[in-house]
Amino acid sequence: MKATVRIQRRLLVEMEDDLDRPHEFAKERLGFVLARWARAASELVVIPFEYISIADDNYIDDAKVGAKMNSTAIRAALQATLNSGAACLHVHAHHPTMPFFGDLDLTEQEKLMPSFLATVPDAPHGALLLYGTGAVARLWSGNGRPPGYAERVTVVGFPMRFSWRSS
Amino acid sequence: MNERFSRQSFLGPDSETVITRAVIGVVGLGGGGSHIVQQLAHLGFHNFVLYDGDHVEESNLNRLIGATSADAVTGVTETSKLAIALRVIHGLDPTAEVDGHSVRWQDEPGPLRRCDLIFGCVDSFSERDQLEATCRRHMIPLIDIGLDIAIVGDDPPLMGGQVILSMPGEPCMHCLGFLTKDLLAKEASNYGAAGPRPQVVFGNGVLASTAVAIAVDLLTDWTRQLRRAVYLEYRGNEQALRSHPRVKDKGIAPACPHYPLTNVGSPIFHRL
Repeated sequence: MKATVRIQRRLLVEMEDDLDRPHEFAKERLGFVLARWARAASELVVIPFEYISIADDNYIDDAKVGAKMNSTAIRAALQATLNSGAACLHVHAHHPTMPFFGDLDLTEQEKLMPSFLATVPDAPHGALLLYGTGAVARLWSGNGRPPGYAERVTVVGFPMRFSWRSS
Repeated sequence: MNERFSRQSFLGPDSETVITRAVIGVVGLGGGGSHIVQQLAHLGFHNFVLYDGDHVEESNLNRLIGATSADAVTGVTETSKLAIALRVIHGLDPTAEVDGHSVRWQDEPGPLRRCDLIFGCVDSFSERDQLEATCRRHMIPLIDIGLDIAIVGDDPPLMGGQVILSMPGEPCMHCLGFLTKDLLAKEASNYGAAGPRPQVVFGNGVLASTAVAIAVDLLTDWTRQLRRAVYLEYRGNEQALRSHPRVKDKGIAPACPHYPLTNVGSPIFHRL
C-alpha cells in the first residue's frame, strides 16, 4: 500500500531541536513520535502529532553505536502508544549526506517493531529518519506483512517540503 | 527541463519535479475552480483529485472556463462540470492523472485525503467550515476562494471576495474571523437567501489567479517570503486585492486553538 507521512512543521522543529541537543556521551539523540493515520482511497496517510523525547538518563553508554536507549525509554514509548491508541515512529537524524537508514538502524527496527505491533496491532508503526531538509519513513502495517517505505514524507508548513521515495 | 516549462524555470530547480508530482485537489469546478484547473494544467500539474456534482447550464457559460455552448444544451445527456475540467486538463496534458468525482466531496471523501494541497471553491460558509476541518484533520493546506456580489437598493453593486490560505498549525478561518458561529448559524437558518447569486468571470479570474500564485509559491518557495497564513480581501469595485486588516502587521500567530494537533487522522476509539 502506498503511504504518505505528513509532518506539521512546528512538530518537525520540535523534533529537530531535541535531536540536535548534545548528550554527555551519546553521539546522537533518539526519540519517538506518536501518530494517527487515515485511509486515503487505496493509500495510507500517517500524521505524527506528539513527540516523545528520551531523557538523558535513558541512554546507554556504548561506544559501538551513535546512541543506544535503555528499556525504560522503550517502555515509556510503548505506554504512550497504549494510552493513546496511536501509531509510534522511532525518530533519529542523519547528516544530509546519509539520507537513508544504516544497517544497524534496519536491524534494530526489526527488533523494536514487534513490541509496538503487539501493543496497538492495527496501527502503522515504524521509523522516521530526518536528514537536512528531507526525511524518509519505514512503516509496518501489521498482520505479518513486511515493512515498506513511505512513498513520500511531506513537511506541512512554511515552507512545504517533499521527500519522495522514488525518483 | 521540459521545453514547455522553460519560461517558468525561475520557480526553482526542483519546481518541475514538485509540480509534476504534487497531488492537487480542487473542490468545486464552477466559476472559480474552472479557472484554477486551467492554470494548474498550464503550469504542468499532473495529478489531480477533482470534485463537482453539477452539470453545465446556460447560466454557467458567462464564467465556466472551458465550457462551450454545446455543453449547455439540454438533452438526453448532460455535460458535467467535471467533464469540462477533464477536457481542459487532458487537452494540455493527455497523460495527466485525474481522479475525478462527479459527486459532492462529502460523499466520497477518501481520495481527497491523498492531496498535498486543496483548492476550496465552494459556495457556502458551512461547506468551507467542513472542508477546512477535513483538511486540518488530514494535514493538508487549503486555499479558499470566494466571490460575492451584493446588490442592495439603488446603490451600485458591491463586489467583494477573499483568498485565504489555511495552513495546518497556523491560523484557521475561525482564527482569521472569516468564519464565525454567528455567520454559520445565520446561513443554516437560510438568513439572507435571495435567489441566484450574481457571479462574473473577471472577479473569479482575479481570485483564482491569486490562489494559484499562492499555491505555486507554497509548493516551490520561489519567493522565499510566504511564511504565514494569507487572508486577502478582494474589493472588485476598486480592482483591489489587499491583506485583510486582521492579518496585516501581525507576526506568526500561536498555534490554532480550533484544530489541535492531537485531532488528526481518522477518529479512533480505544479502551483505556
